[in-house]
Amino acid sequence: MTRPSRPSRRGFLAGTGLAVLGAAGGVTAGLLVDRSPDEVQPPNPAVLLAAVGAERALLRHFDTVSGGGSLHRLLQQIRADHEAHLAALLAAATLAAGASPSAVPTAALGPPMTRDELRAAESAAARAAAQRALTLTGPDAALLASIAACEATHAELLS
Amino acid sequence: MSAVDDAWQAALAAEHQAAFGYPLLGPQLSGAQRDLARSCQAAHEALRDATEQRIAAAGLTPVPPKGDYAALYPVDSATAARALAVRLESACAAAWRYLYATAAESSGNRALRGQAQQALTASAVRAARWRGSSVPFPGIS
Repeated sequence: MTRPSRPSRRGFLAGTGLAVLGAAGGVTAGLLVDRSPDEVQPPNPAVLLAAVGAERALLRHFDTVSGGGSLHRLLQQIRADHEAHLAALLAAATLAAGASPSAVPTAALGPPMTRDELRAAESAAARAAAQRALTLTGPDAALLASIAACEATHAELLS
Repeated sequence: MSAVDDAWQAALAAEHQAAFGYPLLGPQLSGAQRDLARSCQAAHEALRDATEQRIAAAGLTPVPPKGDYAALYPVDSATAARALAVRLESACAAAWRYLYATAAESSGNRALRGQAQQALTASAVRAARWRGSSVPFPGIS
């Protein structure tokens, strides 16, 4: 199939100053995608510490739930994922600015969550992680993107 | 081509492989799993087509599919079929995560990062459905 010829992308963007931005949810940005590099942002410890807090909150949710059999095994596996996320985020936050992870407050233990509530919490966490990823650059951004994807899989497995 | 362009083409290549691989594994499955294979195949074909269009719209020549993907064979049982499905999804997740990471080297590329996030997440979810379990860092594990 022969594709129609198009003006060069760089020439077009230089002429119009057009920049296409998309939402964290991956909304399609039409035919033109801004792939031009901008400034590299320094690591953002505040965002990473917020992510640490979010993982700790999720872990607290799992502390409230009891169950047996296959649900117990699933919850243990999901909990292990969150522990891995927390470890990676703590390391990233420490590297970012020597920020003290102990500065992140730990949420109080709430009432036991149902399976549906856990699923909703994972879905919300996935969206939040994806949003945080977009505010970062470099390996920290990719780390949060993976975490977001993982938390979406948790929601799927809990459904 | 830039590093981002290379990563984008690699993501398309992974989608080509998935679109090729699912018709191999589907016939080994039955019932709900065969239906799942069909829906996964459709998702990859749609993403492949959309990615090709976006790459072409950016003035690049989309990487074509290979004539064959010998490494995917043989698929001679339901177990092999499920294992292949996990491999295909993991390969796509890795490619989209790599695109995300490359695009995230700067503060721009937000639209492309959004697309990569969506594709990474979708492949991670499909892999989890086939595997019956999650991995902590989809795309790198």
